[in-house]
This record gives sequence, structure tokens and C-alpha cells, in this order.
Amino acid sequence: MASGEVVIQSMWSPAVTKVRSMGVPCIYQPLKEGYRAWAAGFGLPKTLSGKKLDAAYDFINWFLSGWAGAFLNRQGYYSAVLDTAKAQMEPYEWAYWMEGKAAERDIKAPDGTLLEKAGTVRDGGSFEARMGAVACWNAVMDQNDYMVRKWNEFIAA
Amino acid sequence: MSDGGAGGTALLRPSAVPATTGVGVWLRRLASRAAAPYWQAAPLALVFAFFFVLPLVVTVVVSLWRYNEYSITPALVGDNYASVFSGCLAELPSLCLTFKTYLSTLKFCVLAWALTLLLGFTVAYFLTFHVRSLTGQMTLFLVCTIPFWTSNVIRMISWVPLLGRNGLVNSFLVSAGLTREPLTWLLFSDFSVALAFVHLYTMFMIVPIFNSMSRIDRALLEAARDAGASGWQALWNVVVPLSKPGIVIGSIFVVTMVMGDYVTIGVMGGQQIASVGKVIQVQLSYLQFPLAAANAVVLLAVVLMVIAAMTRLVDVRKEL
Repeated sequence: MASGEVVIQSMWSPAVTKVRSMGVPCIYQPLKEGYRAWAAGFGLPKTLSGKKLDAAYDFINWFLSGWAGAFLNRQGYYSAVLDTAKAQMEPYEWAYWMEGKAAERDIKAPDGTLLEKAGTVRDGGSFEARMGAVACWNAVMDQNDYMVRKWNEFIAA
Repeated sequence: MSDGGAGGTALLRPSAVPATTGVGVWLRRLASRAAAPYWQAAPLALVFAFFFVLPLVVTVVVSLWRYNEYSITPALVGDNYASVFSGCLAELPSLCLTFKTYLSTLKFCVLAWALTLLLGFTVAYFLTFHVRSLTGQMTLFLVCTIPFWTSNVIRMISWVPLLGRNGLVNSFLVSAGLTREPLTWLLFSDFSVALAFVHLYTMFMIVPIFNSMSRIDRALLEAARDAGASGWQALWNVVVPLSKPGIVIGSIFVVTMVMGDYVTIGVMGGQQIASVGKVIQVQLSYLQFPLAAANAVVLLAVVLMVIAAMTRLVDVRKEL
């Protein structure tokens, strides 16, 4: 994408912010069909016990306590606990990333590089607008066999 | 077996092991000279059995299993093969997925084979008959192997900055005024895939053909010239027939590698060109192991048929 060899692509949010912070105009194009959404969470195996179990919970508590959430939000993802993430973000950042408002000040990427000039609006708008338009979740669907076959046919066409 | 006599003499010698008991006979057989070749072949046979025969058997067995989104269950059903060929008869004359994919794969196979053969034969001919000194031959041969010092993937990726939209070739063409717009068929196209195959696999043609050619008696070429043959006639009637084993071995290398390839076609074709290997890879990535195994077995059968046809043209064993 950054080398100019690719013009359209399915991309992760951090990759888009990275390409944009390199100065390449790259937009997230919302489709009228809706979004494909991914979710990731933590699962603890039942074999965990004692110190290891405590440590696992400590890690999850830290992860949800705000700093990591704010980092994820600034990459364009949505953290699982928005309240704690909000506390770690500036109000103007929250307005840009979550409320779909025009940026009051320059928006910085998590590593501090300039991402967007003041005045820009996030592609796709607010949290409600984006998450309200999720058409499918990235999971193994009932029509898995059919879809894989259709994908191979698409490539062979 | 010419060493049967040697085995006989070993048996005539008196031995410490009594020959009457069963164990004694066994030990003597194991220690006899006749058994030596089997012992010598055993390590490689074991390696082959474990790393080649066993996986192949497992693939064939799994291709008969059932599967769903999250599990595979032992069974003995032909469903996966039916799925591979589903619609292939009903949809005629338009091609089903499998036929279309094989057609695309075979196209690259023929292209890569013809181009590597032409280049490989020419290079081998030059090395054998035009480079007189052995040092010269060795040096040029080593030069041919230099690209192999880097990995396959790096060699492919390095085409991108050369052939891309903003690549060296396009920026030269545009700045020289030869084209107004950058050429888009240079990269992520049939052209780039064929180019990468030729780049990657020509060496596999050069080596066996060079090997065959270097065994040709130079006196034969002189005899051909004395008998009035032109250069082309000598090439076609003397050099080509005597290089056949090398040509067939090189062809087997190239054809098998191109038929099973999915990395080159994926990287150089922008993931949008069909190949049998790619279909298998997509199915594996969605955990359809039995279906992928069935596809692999079909591919194996096709490649074996191609190789059988090629070895029918030349008896490679006899010629070696």
C-alpha cells in the first residue's frame, strides 16, 4: 500500500493509521452492504490455578484499566471497556475517534506521529454509526463450504 | 545380480554360528554379502518410509474422511472427491472450478517448461561446447548458482520494486517517453508469474542437460561435420537425441514444481490467479483438511500421469 503497488485492499486499522501517518492518502471506505467486524477477547483455560490464575486476572484487569484501551482506540479499534479508555484520552481525541466529530486539534497516532490535521472527520463516523452497520462477524459461517468454494471460483474466474 | 558368486563363496566358509538352528540361519543371512546391499539401502529406505510414504498414506486416508467447520471424523466416503469434481459433467461445455484451475495451472506449466527448456538448453550448450576450459565452465556454472544464495521468496519479492507501477522499469519507460501511463501488466499478472517461474527454475533445466551434454563424445560432432551435416543438423540429430535424458529429468523437475506451486503464483499474481496449489491452500486455511487431501491426491495422480508420459518418451534409467 505504502509503495503505491496496491490501490484497494482489506486492511487492519493500525495498518491504515500507519500508512496515513506516512503521508499516503488512504481512506476506509464504508460499504453500503455494511461492515465485516472482528472481535477478540481473553479466555482462561480451566487448568490455570493459584499464582498463575491470579497473574492472568491481574493482566486482564490491567488491560481493561484504560491505558491499553486508549492505545487501541487511537489505532482505530474499539476497546472492550470504553469508560476506562475514555479516562485516558483527551476530550478532543474522544470526540474524533468515538463521536465522529471533526478533530479540534491535530490527531496523533499512538507513537506520537501526526495522523490527521485539525478539522478532519473519521471515515465512517461515530462508534454508533460504525458498529451499528456491522453486516457480518468474522466467524465460521453456516455456509462455510459454499463460501470457500465461491472464493476459489472467484479467483479462477 | 553379478555378486551372487561372491555371496556363494561367503557361505562356503566355515562359520562360528551353527547352521542348524533357525536363529543361526537368520544371523548368517543377515551377515552374508548378499544382504549387504539391503543394509546399505536401509537408512534411506527408512527415511523415505517415514517422511514420504507415511505422509502420503495419511493424505490418502484423510481424503476419505468426513469434516465440518471444526472437526474431522474418520470415515470411508467419496464425498470429498465428488466435491472436487462437482458440476464438472453437468456444467459442460463451460468448465467447472477444478477444470478451470487445472487449465490455468497447466498453462503456466507449459509456458514455464517451454521457456526454461529453451533457455536451459541454450545455456547448457554454450557451457559444454563453446567454453573450452574446465575452469571457465566451473566459473560460469557457479555464476549461474549465485541467485540461489538468497531465498526463493526474496528472489520473488525483489521483482516488485522492479516491475511495479512505481517500479524501475515503469519509471524508465515513462521518463523516456515510451509510454504515457505506467504499464500495469508487468506485475501481478500472467507475465510476472511466468517470468518468476523462468527465473526460479531455469537452473533445474541447466544442470541435468549440462550433465547429459558433457558426456557426448566430441568425435561424434566431428563425424557429423565430416559427413556433411550443417550446424543445425548436427544440433538436431546428434546433440538433442543424446541430451534427451537430461531434458526429461529437467522437465520432470520443472513440471512437478510448477504443478504444485502456490507461493510464486500467489506473490507474483497478486493472489488473484488460480492454481491447484492455491485451491488446496485456501481449503487448508479454512480447516477443510479432507477436501484439501482429496485435491492433493488428484493433483498427485495428474502429475504422475504427466511424468509417466514423459518417461515413456525416453527410458531415463537405460540412458543413465
